[in-house]
Amino acid sequence: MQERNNYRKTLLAIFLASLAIFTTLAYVATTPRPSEEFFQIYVLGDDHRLEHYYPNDNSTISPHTIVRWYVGATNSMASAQYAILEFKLGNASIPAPNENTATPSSAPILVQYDRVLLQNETWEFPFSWEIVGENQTGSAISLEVNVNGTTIKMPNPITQGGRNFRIFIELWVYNPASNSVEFGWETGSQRRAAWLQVWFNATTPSLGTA
Amino acid sequence: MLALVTILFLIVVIAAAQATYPKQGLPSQDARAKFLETVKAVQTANLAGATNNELSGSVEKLNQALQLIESANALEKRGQLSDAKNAAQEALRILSNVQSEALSLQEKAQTRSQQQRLLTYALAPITALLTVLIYHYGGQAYRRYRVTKTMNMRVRVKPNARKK
Repeated sequence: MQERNNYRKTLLAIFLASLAIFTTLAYVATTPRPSEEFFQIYVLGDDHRLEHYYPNDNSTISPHTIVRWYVGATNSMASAQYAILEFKLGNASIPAPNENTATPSSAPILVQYDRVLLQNETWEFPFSWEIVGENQTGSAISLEVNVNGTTIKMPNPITQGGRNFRIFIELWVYNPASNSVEFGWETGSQRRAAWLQVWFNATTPSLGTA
Repeated sequence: MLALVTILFLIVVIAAAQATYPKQGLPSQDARAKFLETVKAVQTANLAGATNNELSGSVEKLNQALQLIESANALEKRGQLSDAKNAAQEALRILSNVQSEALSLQEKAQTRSQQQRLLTYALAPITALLTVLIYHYGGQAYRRYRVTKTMNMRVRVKPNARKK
């Protein structure tokens, strides 16, 4: 009788221990694991590689020379996201975006593209541009640029002799908490930002090359 | 006195005018506000557990609506307000559809998640019970095997064993 009671106690102990183990496993299986949420943006050259960003690898662009890039963004956030890629035309003195303070560049917007991306979706599109006009005041040069078939006159920025222009590519993301589109995104309690820049010089009309 | 009456009259007239003609945004602005609202609904459905396969149609429509809003915006800038309004209305129609789809997907995903969670937790006591049964019947079978093995034992003397 005593032996049977002991055996029953053993069975009960096994049941309780198994229940604790399997309940823990069920909790682990049903609780979503925290993962880092992020975006990636990239710009590729004419042949879909991280090189040959300029025709003949010459960063001094003369008018009507078409420069072809491929720009992309990947959504590795926890849900679908509304993303905007803003292309800004800057020079050496306009501050670049700051990812630590999530401050965008104050450079004027050249063009912007937007799209809703599914989770883990990559969005890539061709970005062809050419300088179609240059305005020269003394040695200061401003540009007129055609991007993907649309001509945009950019009175600002100006550079001396057409040197050190740069195109910033900034990622802006819709934040449902503030119901607005913001530079960068929030992951946990942190704010992250992604941006790129490509420098170039413009051939000046009177001086030949810059 | 006359000045006071005039001011009061003007206040009443302005208030009445504002009530009759409420301030309205441009069609593309209204559509854009609705677009952001819809993106939020899709994100909520996604976070509730709706999969990419389920949401791909809605996201495609969202991008279609986005293009219409951009074209409405461009038309507004060119002063073609009637065409802009048409484009914005089409975008609003698409966005309404996406919103109701997202809501239904969210409910579906929530129900599915709850069922999965319930099933997973229900499996815990069942598996624990199975463990006890395996221990019990496995132990019995093992004991029977040991008893049978012991009963079938035969005493043999090794031929070269030393006699003590």
